[in-house]
Amino acid sequence: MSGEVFFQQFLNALGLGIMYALIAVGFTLFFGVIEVVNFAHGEVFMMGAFVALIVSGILVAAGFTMGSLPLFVAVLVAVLIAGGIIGVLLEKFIVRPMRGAPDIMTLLITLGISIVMREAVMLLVPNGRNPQPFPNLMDLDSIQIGGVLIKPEAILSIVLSAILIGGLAYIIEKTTFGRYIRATAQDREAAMMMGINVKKVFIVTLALGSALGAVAGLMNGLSYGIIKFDMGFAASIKGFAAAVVGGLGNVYGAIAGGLLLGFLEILVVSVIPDGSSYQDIVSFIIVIMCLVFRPAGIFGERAYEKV
Amino acid sequence: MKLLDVQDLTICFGGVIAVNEVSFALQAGETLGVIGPNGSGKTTLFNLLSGIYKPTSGTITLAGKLTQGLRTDEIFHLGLSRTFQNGRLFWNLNVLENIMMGLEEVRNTSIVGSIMGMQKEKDLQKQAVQKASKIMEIFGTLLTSQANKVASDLPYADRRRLEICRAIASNPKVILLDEPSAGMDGIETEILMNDLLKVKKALPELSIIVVEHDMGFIKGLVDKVMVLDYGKCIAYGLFDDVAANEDVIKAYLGQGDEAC
Amino acid sequence: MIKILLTEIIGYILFLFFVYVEDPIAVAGVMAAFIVAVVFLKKKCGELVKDLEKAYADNLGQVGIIAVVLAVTMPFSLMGDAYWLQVLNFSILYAIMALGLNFMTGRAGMICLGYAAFIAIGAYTVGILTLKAGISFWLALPLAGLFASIFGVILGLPALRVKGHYLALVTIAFGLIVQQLLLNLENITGGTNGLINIPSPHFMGIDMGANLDFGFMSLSYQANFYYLCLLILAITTILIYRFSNSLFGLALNAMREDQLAAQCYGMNITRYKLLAFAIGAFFGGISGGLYAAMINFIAPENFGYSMSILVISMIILGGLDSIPGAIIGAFFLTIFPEKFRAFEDYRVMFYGIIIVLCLLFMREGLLPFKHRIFKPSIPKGEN
Repeated sequence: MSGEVFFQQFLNALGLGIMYALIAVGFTLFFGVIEVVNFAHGEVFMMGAFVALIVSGILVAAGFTMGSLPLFVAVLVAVLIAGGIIGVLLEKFIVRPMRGAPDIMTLLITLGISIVMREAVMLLVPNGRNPQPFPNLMDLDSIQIGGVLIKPEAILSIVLSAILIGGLAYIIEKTTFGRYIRATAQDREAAMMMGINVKKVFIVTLALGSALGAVAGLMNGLSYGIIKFDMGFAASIKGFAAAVVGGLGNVYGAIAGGLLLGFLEILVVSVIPDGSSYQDIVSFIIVIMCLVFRPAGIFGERAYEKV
Repeated sequence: MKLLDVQDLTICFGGVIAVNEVSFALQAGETLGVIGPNGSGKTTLFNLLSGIYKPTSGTITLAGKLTQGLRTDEIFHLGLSRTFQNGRLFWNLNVLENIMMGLEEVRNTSIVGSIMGMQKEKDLQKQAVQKASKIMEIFGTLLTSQANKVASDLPYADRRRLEICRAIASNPKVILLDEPSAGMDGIETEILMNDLLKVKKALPELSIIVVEHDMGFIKGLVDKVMVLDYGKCIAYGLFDDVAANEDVIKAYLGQGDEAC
Repeated sequence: MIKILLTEIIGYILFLFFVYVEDPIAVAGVMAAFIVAVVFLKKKCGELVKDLEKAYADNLGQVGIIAVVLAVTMPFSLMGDAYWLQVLNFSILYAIMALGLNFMTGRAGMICLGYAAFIAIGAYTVGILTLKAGISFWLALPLAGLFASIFGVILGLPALRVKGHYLALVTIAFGLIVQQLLLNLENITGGTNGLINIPSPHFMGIDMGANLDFGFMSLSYQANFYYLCLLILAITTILIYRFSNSLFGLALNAMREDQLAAQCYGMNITRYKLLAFAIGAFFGGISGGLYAAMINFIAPENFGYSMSILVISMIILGGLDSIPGAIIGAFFLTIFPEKFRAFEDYRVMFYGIIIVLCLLFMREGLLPFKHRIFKPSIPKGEN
């Protein structure tokens, strides 16, 4: 493999990996703090992309220029807010009523709502059954590094994702509310007794995670230029898988897991002949192996069941 | 011959030594009390005995067999049964079914036989129901009157009784009772005490190990006592001897004003 | 006996009404009226409903026999209508699948979101064996079940070490892997194009792909499969019923409730988990095999994730671990949307909404699981 191709593939992997990481962070937060696996998270990702599509359409009609910085920032903010709102709604109407129900029920209800969300987008967006072209929200000149032509969207996605993940890490590690989140994750009852408003923590957690997931959808649109109503399913699986690989509940593990999964997939595609048709199989087999042999994640210690 | 022989049992979780070189032996029909403050390794010791955790070192010999490498269910078949600190009944099964789960019959059914509706399987099932009903009678009508109630609908004290019934259903040689009085008030504890004495009387050959952190509770029940502190056995012997032991008083009973 | 007969006939007539009335609004109206009536009855005449429930529970044999007799006359009542017979065939196939999945997920507590994989394996087994190897359908069908069971055990192996959410992920991945393999192994499976012209089975010289001629009346060929599927559904129901009511079924229930406690009470969890997967998968394979022979054409896209979800929504609607629930759920979710073909686009959404609403407001399902009542043979101290 020549150096240029290698570099190109490296960037592809980084872009894919960081997108998985953005989704995985949500899964891991929800599990760590609220103890649910939210299978609707992939649909939040998908809806993020569609919100970006629609909002950019409206803004252009309102006089913004396509490809300008103000437009991009406005769309980004809109996606973050929309993601947050979806998260709050999910908490209120899906997750909260199911508190205390068996795990299997909570899991199934998030599956159910994910179907509803996916179908709703398909039916409500005009011509929603077909892939939608995603506008080029940010006009950037192609960058050349060492003779390699690089898609600027890729760099933009990577940088933006890194900033967002950094922001989340800051919130969790440094702010008071972040401390509440960590406390609730560690011991819900103790947190409650210490006067932390656990309900609020849950809402904020779902809002934060969902906002990041929605932005991941925006990134996906930017990088590939095309979005479709059913792209949330694969995102759910990959994001959850990445979170599991990193150890559910561990935010930094989720980031590492996402990157690892991205690199592995690109590796499979580029090394194995006809690899793209086996891309998913390989990543799923890795996930199953990981679940079976390292259920606490690649960094986790062996867990002992509480008796 | 000793029924249960434990030698230098040790387990480490990461860097923490939860049970540290504990040794003791149990004869048939004997009752041993294990006491110690929270986190002293009592429940871990039970989990080691029943095979849920694998010891880092040391051996357990049950009825002449080393339990090393055996699965939990195989250890059960050697004659060791237990209860759990936080219940762990089969909450959505009814009382009778819970007890039946402790019986050999459940595991002896042939699957082919049961789908063919063979007489042998029907007899086996009938036999299981009969046995389970009989076991319930240890507690008089308390459980028999609620035989078809789902376990999660039972009052707290009856859950404890049901657990004991389930544990003795298989005719075990040893049962491990993990804090049977947890969450009970004085009167309930006294009733439970009577229940346990009933069990002892009905099954004189049964050996019992009971974990408690209240020494008073087990006074009339046990033959011997072992005191654990930070995973180490600091005293082992007859109740009165242990109660008078300096170390025990210092490490455990000495904190007199702290309610147990 | 009279009560059972009467209620089942009412159900039968309602179904015919549902089929024959074309106007979807009228149908919706009658359905709504029926639901209101049932709710009203349950509130006002609780005794009557209880009586009925008891009558059903006490005379399961009669209930089954009457239902089968009524079902046998169905193709005649439908005048051999090909479309509705096909719909019924599908609902029966889904009922078999729902029973299998219900055994795995409802009874043994092993959540499976890749059940379509077993159906696919059964369908491809029959397809490949009858089309390419020329083996008789009647031999291929049990083999379909067997192969599906083998794959069930393969899926069961990772399930030995994971549970809950993790198992859900593993089973989804398993379903996708099987589908991908079907797509990629073109030499055997025909890839995206699938397998076409799968031969119809012959039964005692009758080609099941030809019309069923009684002399006085000729029924479309779907009637052949209707009777075959009905027979297999009856057998499946009896088998699952026996499994569930045996001590083996009890042990699976206990495993669902608490794996660790079950282990501490002498259950070899490995064995029970693998058996649950094998048995559940077996029925998926059988229904897949029937599907292949009936439709004569299979492709990987037929056995995707959405099929797994559909079967799951059937058992949730009917009530987890409830045998009649699984059957009713399958019939309802297959037949009901047929009347609203104008809203075909909303079909999948409808399944999603059903799952959400059931879990929010009716967690036990339409026909909740009924506990076995064992009669202690020494009824001492009842008072």
